[in-house]
Amino acid sequence: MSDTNLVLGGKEFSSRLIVGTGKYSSMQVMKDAHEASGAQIITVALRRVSLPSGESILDHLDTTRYTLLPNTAGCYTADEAVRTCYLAREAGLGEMVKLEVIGDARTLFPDVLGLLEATKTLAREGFTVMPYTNDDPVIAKKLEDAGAACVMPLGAPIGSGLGIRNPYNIKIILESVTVPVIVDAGVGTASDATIAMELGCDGVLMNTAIAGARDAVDMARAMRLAVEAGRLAFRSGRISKKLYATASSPLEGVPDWTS
Amino acid sequence: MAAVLFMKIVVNGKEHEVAEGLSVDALLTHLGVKREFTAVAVNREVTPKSMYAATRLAEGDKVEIVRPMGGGSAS
Repeated sequence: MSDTNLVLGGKEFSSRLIVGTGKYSSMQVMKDAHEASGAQIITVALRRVSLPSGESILDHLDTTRYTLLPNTAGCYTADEAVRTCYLAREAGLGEMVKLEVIGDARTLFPDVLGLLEATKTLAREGFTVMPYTNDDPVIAKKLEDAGAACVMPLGAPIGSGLGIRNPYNIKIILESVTVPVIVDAGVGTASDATIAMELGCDGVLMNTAIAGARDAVDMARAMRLAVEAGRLAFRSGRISKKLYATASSPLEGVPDWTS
Repeated sequence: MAAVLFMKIVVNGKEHEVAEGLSVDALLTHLGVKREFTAVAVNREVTPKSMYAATRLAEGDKVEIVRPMGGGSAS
């Protein structure tokens, strides 16, 4: 059974795993992990250049291979996030943006009011807006109505590795919107990514789970397989859950051992 | 020879003394910043690349020069 591609901003992606570029132990490990993940979309943050070197992570990445996804990480207002997206577009990073408007430094939970406002502005300006949101189906629907190209609910707080804490809300989000749903944040290990995909999500975005693993490259491969496994299982239609056993061998023709 | 006049501007949060009327283009060259994947904002407004040469900086201007760095989420 062949799968459809993930479509974002008119572009098609066969990989449903999006990875980051932060927290890696070295550039080489990052490059190898990207390779092992099979990801086609890679997120980057925009930051002040450090003078005089002015080095960028893209000086070390094959930018022809990956679709870059600039994020607005560290922005606490809609205005900052929108201006960051304008900077990203001017920097030549394209018009697909991972929109974050953070509401609280300790939890890094999104400020959904600012997020909604920024989504409206950026969608109007022609950006392909991918908002990082909480697992609230009502906000997800409002983001879709505001012009978001997808919605990216968190599974758990960013970098927490707690997994998909509210699979039922993710399920309701999937029923509430028609745009792709990509779980962003909270994944800790491979089974978390699989659970997201089994729920029917269209993709998973992660950074820390791979970059922070003892062996980032092998974890990247595990995540690739986990996303693929979850996607396949979702498309294959799982059996329903039952309280009691159902024999999988025929009950007819059992030999009679009674004496 | 006319004396070169200087002005103070703030680049990425740090004060710099540069020649009066310096353009954004000349500033980037002066600082040795690569142009690829670079974006500039002056006083919160993004300066399009096509305007680098024509945009003259003034005393007290706040300039932000950014490039992509490593990151996933809110890092």
